[in-house]
Amino acid sequence: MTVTHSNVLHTHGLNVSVEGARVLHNVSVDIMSGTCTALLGPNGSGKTTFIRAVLGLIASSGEVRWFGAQEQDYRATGRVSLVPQLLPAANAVPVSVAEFVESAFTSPANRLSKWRHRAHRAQALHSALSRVGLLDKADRPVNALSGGEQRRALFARAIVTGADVVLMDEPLAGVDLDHQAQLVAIMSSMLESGATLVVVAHELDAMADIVDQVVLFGGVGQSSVVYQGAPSPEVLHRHLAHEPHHIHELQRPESTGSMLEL
Amino acid sequence: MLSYDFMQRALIAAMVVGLVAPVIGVHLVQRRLALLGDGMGHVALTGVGISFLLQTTPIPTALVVAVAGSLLIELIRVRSRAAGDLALALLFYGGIAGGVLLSSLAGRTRPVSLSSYLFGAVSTVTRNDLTVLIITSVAALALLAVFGAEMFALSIDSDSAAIRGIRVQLMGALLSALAAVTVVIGMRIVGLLLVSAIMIVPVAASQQVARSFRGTMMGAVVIGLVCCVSGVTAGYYFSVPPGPAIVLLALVIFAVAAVVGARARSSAAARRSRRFAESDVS
Repeated sequence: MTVTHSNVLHTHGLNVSVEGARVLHNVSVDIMSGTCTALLGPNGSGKTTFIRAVLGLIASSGEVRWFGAQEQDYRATGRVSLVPQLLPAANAVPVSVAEFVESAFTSPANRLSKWRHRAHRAQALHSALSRVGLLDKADRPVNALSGGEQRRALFARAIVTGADVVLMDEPLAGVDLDHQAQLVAIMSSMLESGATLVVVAHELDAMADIVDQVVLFGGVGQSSVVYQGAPSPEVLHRHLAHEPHHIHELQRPESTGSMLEL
Repeated sequence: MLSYDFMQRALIAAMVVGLVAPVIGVHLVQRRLALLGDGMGHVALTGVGISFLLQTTPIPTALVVAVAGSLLIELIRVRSRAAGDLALALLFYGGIAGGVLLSSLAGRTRPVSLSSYLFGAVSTVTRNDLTVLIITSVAALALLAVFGAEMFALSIDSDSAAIRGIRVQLMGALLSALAAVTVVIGMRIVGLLLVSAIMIVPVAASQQVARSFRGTMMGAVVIGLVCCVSGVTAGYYFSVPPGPAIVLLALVIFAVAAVVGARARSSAAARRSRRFAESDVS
């Protein structure tokens, strides 16, 4: 595949092995700027592993290109952020929502210049908390927020630095329908402002309106991509029926998607 | 009290420890490494033993050995299959055994005493000791000013920290080394056996009532300063050992803060319940 100017993430022949067992095999994916891509598949199909591999958090082989550059270069750009499924750790010391969100500004690149940009950061923090509706809770300990509010705090941290590629690991899991709608609205506003979203999910229901592309992981044993393309109803039907390994039985959809034989 | 030079030095040293120890301690507590300081104290004991044997100045020698030990702990934790607490335990045992053995060997040729390092001897702080303490403390605080934000970000979410280019292992090693430095700074004031307490207890007290990391740190510094100065003062007026007085005072403050914090949290929960009930009715 050729890397175009709008190609945010390109992987080719990506493999991941854990303790000698290959869990991701020959994964080739393209993510274009300004789009929302849903990574779908059953539990254990390697969706989160894919995200961790492209971020360099776990060892992998094959080609990973961010913004057309080599793998690790994305770290220096500050353009990529991650929304984990849950708050990563219950910290022993209370951390306020503002401190939690503001921590996204911390990087070796601004180690010595962090004191110079306080006004800009305060403005960005105010803006990010406003967008997710947590401005009135900026001083509260983040662990004291409800589950839905904690997700919004994670969203705020992802967008506060102006990162234009946000990888989200099941951002709607375990959240009630009202909060799901709020989170999808925030995701939609991110897309409107030009961000690229890559979202690990089990189902598309709540975010069907904002997803441009589906990458479907599946396969028996080692996982690979069985479909990449528009979220066609047929594919979703099969996916929701938890039978991604039968995807080859489907007709090739009229969309731009491509069906891969297992 | 202040007319005596040794008490002036003791109070300055106490203030330095009261300021620095909680600032490092809040990062240790945040990363659930509250017992790291204890491990470092045991390792520093080997440094004191080496200084007895080589007849060098104890504080710099203990500093070098404790920092080396802290880096070894990180190495064991990261590179081997040993878990963090196991690595710490290994250093605990090795450190105290080495300290006692080396002191015993040194004692064959001249009289040496470990007790002033185990339990503190604030009245014997020399001008040179004080100079080393202040320089070391300023260096530790400067490092924290530069790298503290990265340590904080790492403690919140190591994955997100890593994708912003923060070097996870380097920050872990730096925090361990800073803990080792703090242990040696506090060695003469509260002693190696209790020095970890002045890093941890003020933080534990402060976090009972604080709502943020920054608030916890500032509260812990105030508690640390009050306890250290009060403990040394009590030691002078009541002829009690300052180290235990400092730690017990900090524990009393912790107990009071725990009660106050629990009451504040239950009041806040009650207010929230009332608000929900009122919103349901309306």
